[in-house]
Amino acid sequence: MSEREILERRISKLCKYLGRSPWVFHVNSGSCNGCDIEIIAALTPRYDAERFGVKLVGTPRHADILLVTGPITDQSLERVKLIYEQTPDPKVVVAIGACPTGGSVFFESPFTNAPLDRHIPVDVFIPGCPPRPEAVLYGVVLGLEKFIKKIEGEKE
Amino acid sequence: MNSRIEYWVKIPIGPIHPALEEPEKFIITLDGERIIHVDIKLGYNLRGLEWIAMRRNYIQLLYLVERICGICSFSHNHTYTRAVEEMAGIEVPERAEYIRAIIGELERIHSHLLNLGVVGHAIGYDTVLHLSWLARERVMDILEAIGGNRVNYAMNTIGGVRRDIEEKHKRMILDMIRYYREEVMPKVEEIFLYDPTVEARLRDAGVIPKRIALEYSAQGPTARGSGIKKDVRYNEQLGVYPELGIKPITPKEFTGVIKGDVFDRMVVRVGELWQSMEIIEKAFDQMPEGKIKTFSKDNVVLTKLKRAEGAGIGRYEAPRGETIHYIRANPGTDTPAKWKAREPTFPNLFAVARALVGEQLADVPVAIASIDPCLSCTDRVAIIDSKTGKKKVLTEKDLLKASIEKTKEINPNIKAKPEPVGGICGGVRL
Amino acid sequence: MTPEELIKRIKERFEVEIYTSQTKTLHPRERIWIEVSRNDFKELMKYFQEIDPHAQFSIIIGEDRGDHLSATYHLELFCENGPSLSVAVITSCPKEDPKIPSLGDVFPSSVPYERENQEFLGIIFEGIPDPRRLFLPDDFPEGIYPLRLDEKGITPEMVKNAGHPYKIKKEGSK
Repeated sequence: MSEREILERRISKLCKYLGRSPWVFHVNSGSCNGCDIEIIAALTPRYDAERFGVKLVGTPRHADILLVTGPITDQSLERVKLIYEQTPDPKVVVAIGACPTGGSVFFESPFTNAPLDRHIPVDVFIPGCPPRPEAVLYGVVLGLEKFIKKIEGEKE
Repeated sequence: MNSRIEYWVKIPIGPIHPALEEPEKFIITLDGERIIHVDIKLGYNLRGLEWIAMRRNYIQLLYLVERICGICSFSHNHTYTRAVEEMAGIEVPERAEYIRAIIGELERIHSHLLNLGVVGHAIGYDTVLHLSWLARERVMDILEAIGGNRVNYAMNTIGGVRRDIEEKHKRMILDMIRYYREEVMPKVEEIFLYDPTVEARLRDAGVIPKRIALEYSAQGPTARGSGIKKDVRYNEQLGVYPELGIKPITPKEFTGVIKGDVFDRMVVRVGELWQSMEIIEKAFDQMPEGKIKTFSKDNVVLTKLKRAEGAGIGRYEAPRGETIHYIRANPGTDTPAKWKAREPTFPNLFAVARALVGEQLADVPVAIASIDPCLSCTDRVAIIDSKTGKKKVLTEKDLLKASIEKTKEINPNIKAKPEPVGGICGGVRL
Repeated sequence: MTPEELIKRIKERFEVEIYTSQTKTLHPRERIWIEVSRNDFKELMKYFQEIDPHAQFSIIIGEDRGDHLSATYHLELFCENGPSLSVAVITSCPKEDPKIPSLGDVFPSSVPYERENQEFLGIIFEGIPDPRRLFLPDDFPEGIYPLRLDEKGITPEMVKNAGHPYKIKKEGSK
């Protein structure tokens, strides 16, 4: 069985456990759009995350997973925090790309505020510039496993 | 006088709480359904690139400059090396120029396929989005085989290119061109040139007349769709392009009618897809053997550039228009005194903002997607009633719904649902 | 029109310093660089519009050169057959009196670039139709110009550093 098939089986098992598939909201805090295009490419027929029902929603109030890209510019800082508060619990925050991880080439500047976990708690970091669509799917799977642990933690 | 409602289009990051006052991006003032004024507010992507560039040397700037934009990263890389080579008087071997032309055209193919999908999504044809992004994956495979990464692959260096194109890559590329010619392009032409619904929807939407395009210096397919014949690769006699037979493409060669609307810009993009494939084949026929870079190592480049002086300007035609970079040397050190760049979406935005006056609200997403803006955003529109001061908020879903409703009036068989795909609309980075 | 003809026509009417630079490619490309004082500047730009009404305006590059501020304007003039002419015009103004006439009525596409240089370098363009800020947020402090190298630039406290993992950093350097 190839790596890809193992990954797909894990995703479908997790979705069955949850009862429904996770919905994803995407936040862009000043990025160059390379990572954003890889996220959307993960939904197209070649890598196809949509067959599990994972879809992009238009409002954070329906979302379970937040995907954040970009070095947090000054003018986006409050928005990112507000969106984090608007998403209902339990939620998982995934930081995609090298920019929210450590700033990448913009690490020293008067207008950026990387890394992301100075401002909101982050669960998964996916490095890469930009990370491949398969890496994005893998990171979302790790996020889902953490999500399930959070739900189980609440039930106890 | 009739009541004035102000639409404040909010920017990039998804749904913002209505209590947050700051309007961003496009501020559209409406009167009933007609637009009377469009204002642009920018700055969401301000990362301080010029401030950072004052503290990097010439080779580190190569990697910084690539990450200005995620789709046209090769174009910025190329323009920067042209500027440095002009300033220091460095010669580039001929094989390297041919390799630069081939990779530049491959990037143009994938960028235009991306834009065809986005415009299709904005009018309700979701299948076009998925199919064209699937077709684009073949080009990304080739770029990954040659360069090492799908985006941001740093092929250029000062004085040449870093990696060579081998026999197996040449076979892959010619195979891909044959696949596109036989299977992908006929479908693309069927949708964007011959389909009556698409033509009725896109004709006379977002018209930029020739006078406004000249005054506001529109670039790229936006200008060529309005009838201005300009193309940096042709006007500037860049590299080996004059030997490959390049000419600016206007819609007159395909449909015979130039009106400057969204339909014409899509026709120009389809024409450029055909032209890029021909250029790649010709370049493979004419490419000589030889070296691919002038200096063998990067530290040799830096020591030579320490003695350079003066300033240099580099220009190139990115898939969206003219990119221009400027660099000035600081003799004795290996950091430049000044670097500045400008990308092509910047003047196009102002041209479209001026041209949207008098149009309907349903045409706004299509007009903005057709200039191919190089920034991702999900817009939100907030309506403020000027009499009572109450605010209402529309999302991208509502704007898309208005656009799809207009398509349904023309052809009731369209079954699209307005769902945001992450939305690729308007913006500029600095 | 070739570059030499253009240089001759300009030298007849204005007092300027002109030099050309050439690239070393297969088809060498000549660029014309003109240095003009700020009093003659607007006349020179209007003359360019007379020569070619379809001239395209590209970019304004503002620089801080120690004791004076300079601005470089790049234009492209189109000819019927053959390559276009690429012209770069340089003006300057002292730091005590940073004023340059605005080109809003000659080239309407130059207004966004003038707004950008106004907020980043502190050059005041007289007669600009729209003097608002373009890129910087509205709560950025007045009087601080991010691209200046003297005391009005960005102070080291305003710089945020995410940390370089394996380098020893000196104050403010890379």
